[in-house]
Amino acid sequence: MIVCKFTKLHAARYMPHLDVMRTLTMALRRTGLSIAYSDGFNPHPLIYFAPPTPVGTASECEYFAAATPEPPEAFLKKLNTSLPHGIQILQSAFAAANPNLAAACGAAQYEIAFEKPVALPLKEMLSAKEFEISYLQNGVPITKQVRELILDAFGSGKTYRLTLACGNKNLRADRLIAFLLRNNPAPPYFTVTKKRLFTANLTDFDTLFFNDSPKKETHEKK
Amino acid sequence: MVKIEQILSKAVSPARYAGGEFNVYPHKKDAALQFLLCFPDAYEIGMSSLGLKILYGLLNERADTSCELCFAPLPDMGELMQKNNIELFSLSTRKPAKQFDIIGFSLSYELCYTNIPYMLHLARIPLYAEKRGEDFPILLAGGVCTVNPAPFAPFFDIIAIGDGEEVLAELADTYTANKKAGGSKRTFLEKAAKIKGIYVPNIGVKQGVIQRAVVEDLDNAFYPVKVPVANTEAVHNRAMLELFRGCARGCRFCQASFISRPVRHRSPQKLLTLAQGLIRETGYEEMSLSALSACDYPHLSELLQGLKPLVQKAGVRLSLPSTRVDSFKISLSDYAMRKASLTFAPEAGTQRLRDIIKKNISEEDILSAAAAAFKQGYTAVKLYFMIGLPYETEQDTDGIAELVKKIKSLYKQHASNRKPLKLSVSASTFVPKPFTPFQWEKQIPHAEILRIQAKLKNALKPLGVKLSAHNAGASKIEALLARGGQNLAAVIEDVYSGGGKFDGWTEYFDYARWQNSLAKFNLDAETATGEIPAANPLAWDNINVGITKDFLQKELARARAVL
Repeated sequence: MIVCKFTKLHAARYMPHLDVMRTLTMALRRTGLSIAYSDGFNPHPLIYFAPPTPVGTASECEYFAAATPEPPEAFLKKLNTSLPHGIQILQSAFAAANPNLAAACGAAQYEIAFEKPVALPLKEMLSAKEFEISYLQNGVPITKQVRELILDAFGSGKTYRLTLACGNKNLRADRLIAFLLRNNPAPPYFTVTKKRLFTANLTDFDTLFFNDSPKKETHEKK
Repeated sequence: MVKIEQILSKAVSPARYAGGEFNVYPHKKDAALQFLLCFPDAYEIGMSSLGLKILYGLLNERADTSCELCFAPLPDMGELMQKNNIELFSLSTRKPAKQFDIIGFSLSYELCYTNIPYMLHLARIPLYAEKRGEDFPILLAGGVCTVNPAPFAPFFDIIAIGDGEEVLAELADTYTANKKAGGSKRTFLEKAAKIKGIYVPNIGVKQGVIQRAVVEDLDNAFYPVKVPVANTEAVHNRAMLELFRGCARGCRFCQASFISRPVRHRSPQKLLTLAQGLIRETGYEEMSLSALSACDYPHLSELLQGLKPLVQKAGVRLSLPSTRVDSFKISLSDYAMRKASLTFAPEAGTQRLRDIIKKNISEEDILSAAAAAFKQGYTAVKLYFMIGLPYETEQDTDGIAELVKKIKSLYKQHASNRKPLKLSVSASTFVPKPFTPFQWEKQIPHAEILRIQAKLKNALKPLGVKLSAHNAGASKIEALLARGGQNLAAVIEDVYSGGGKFDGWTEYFDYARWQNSLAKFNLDAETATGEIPAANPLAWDNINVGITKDFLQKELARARAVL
C-alpha cells in the first residue's frame, strides 16, 4: 500500500470527486501501473481517498492510498506523465496497511484569497460561544451551528487562513466566507485553496505519512 | 469586468466549462486557421460524439490549424454569462467565439437546432449569414442532419454534406491558401463551393445538385486514438472503435442506413492497431465496437480473437451496441463482454409490420436469441420498439405486449440464475426522414401518439414492465424539422426568442412554444408532418446522397405490397 499526496488546481478544481477518482483510475490504466482489484462481479481498483473537497475549491493537499506493489518514487513519476491539467502527484510513500484516510481526517486549513482587500469579523466570530450560519444547499435554506467546527481563523486584507473541521464533522470554507460577507452589497470575488489536512488532534497528514514538516507548498499559477 | 472564472463556481457542474481535459491539443497561437468546433448540446453529450472527436483530431494534426471545442452552456450558465457580459468562449483557452476564423457546428439531432441561435446569440454573432460581413467568422455546418439543410441553411455560410474527414481537410487547405493570397471571405466561399460535398447557400452561386462526400478508403482515413477525455462523466464514457460505416440492411425507416452507403469496412489489422492506441492513450475501462449494426462486421470473430488478449491484459471491457437479434450467433461471453444487459430492437410487434419496414427478424429469431442469452447468464433485456409506423394497426401495437409476455416466460424456463429478469421496453415514435422509402409517409397525429402510448402502458402494466416512451410533442417537432424547408429558419429563430433551447431535453422542451411560433407563420405541426404526395418537390431535392428518388419509390412500393 502506498499513500500519495496530490493537487487539484486550475480547471481541475471544478472536477467532482467521483471524476477525480475516475481520472486517477484511467491514468493508472494508461500508464500500466499495477494495482490490486476488488473481487466480485464488477472489480474496481483498490484506491482509497481522503474526504472529498467541494467542487470549486482548489487543493494542494489531496490524498489517496493505493494497493500497489510499485515503489512509491517510480509510481509518482510515472503517474505524473499521464494526468490532466491541475492534477499532480506531489509526494508518495509506503504505508504498512490501509491508513483509512477518510476516518483519519479531522480538520483542514484553507487559504482564502480575495480580489480586493476586505475586513472579515474574525475576532467576533472566534470569541462568540455560538455561531450560526445559513446557506442554500440545492436551493434549500439550511441553518447550522458551526462554532465548534471553526478551529482557527486569521489574516487580513486580501488573504485569510481558516482551519475548519473536515471529514465526518465538516464545514465548507466557501460557505463560511459567503456568510461572513452576507451584508456586503457587492461581495468581492474570492478563491479557496485547501492547504493542509490534519487528523482530529491536528497532526499534519504530511507528518503522518511522509515524516515531513509541512513546508512544501505550491502556488497556483495565474 | 467579471471574468469567466468568477461565474464558474455559480454554475451547475462547472467542470463542463472549465477545460483542461487530458489529451487536449496544445493551442497553436500562430496557426493560420483558428477553428472552433461547436456542438449544440451539453458538454457531456458532445464529448461522447465520435464525429466531433474525429474532426477535432484531424484539424489539430495539421500544422496550419488550431482547433478548440465549444459546447452549449446549460440554461443556468447561459443566464450567468448574459448577466455578466461574458461571450460564448472556447473550452481550452476561453477565447471568445467571435475571434475564431471558422466556427463549425456538428448537427446530429434536429431538436438541437434552437441551440444554434442560442449559441450565436451568446457569441454576439448575427444569426443570418447575410447579416454577417467580412469581420465575422465563417459559419459551417456538418453532421448527419445536413442531408436536409433547408431549415438552417440561411444561418450558415457553408454546409458540408456527408463524411467530414476529406471535406474538412480540403476546406482548411482552401481557407489557408485564400488567406495567404489575401483573398476575402467571399473569394473563399466561391472556392469552397467547388469542393465536393460543400453547399454554399447564401452568396448566390449556382451549384446545381450537391453530391454527398464519401470517404472511400476508411482504412486510410484519419481516426483519432489520442481523444480528449471528459473531465466530468460523459454519457458515453468509453473508447469507441468504429468498425465500419454504412449498413446494408436497409430498414425502411432508417435514415442512417440510406445516407451512409456504400458499406465500407476497416480491416481487422487496422482495428487492432487502433484498439491498442485507444487503450494506451485514453485509459477507458470500456471499449465499444461501434457501427450502425456492429454485429454485421464480416470479420467479427477474427477481430474479437485479436482483441481478447489486448483487453484482458489492460483490464478493459468490450461492448457491442446495437445488437441485432439475427446476428447473435457468436458466443459473446468468451470475449470479456459485459454480460449484464442485452438489447434487442424488434421495432414492431408483428411479423407483418416488421416485413413492411424491412426489419428482417422473425419472432422465432428473437425468442431463440433471448433463450440462448438467458442460458448464458444474461439477466437484463432492453427491447426497442417504434409506434406510429406506416400501415400500423391495433394488432401491431397489441403484438408488443404479447412479445414481452413470451420473453418473460422464456426467462422462467431458461434463466441460469435466480435473479429476477430486468426487462425494459422503450417505444419511440416513427419520424419520417429524408432519403428513406418512408420519406413521403405521414407521422401519426400528436393525439394518436398519446393514445397508443397510453394503451401500451396499460398493456405492459400487468406484466410488471414499465414503458419508456418519447415525448410526443418532441417527436412531432423532430419530424417537422427533419423534412422542413427554409421557411422553418424563422420559426427556429422565433422559438429561441420565446425561450426555447435544449429542445432535446424533456425538461426544457415546450410543445406549446413551438405551436405558438408555428402559428405566427401560418404553419402547424400536424399539416407539416402529414403525407407528402409523391409528385411534390421535396425540400432536399438539391442534395444527392447517392440514392435515387426512383429507388426509394420502388422500396416504398415493396413495403406497400406486403399489405
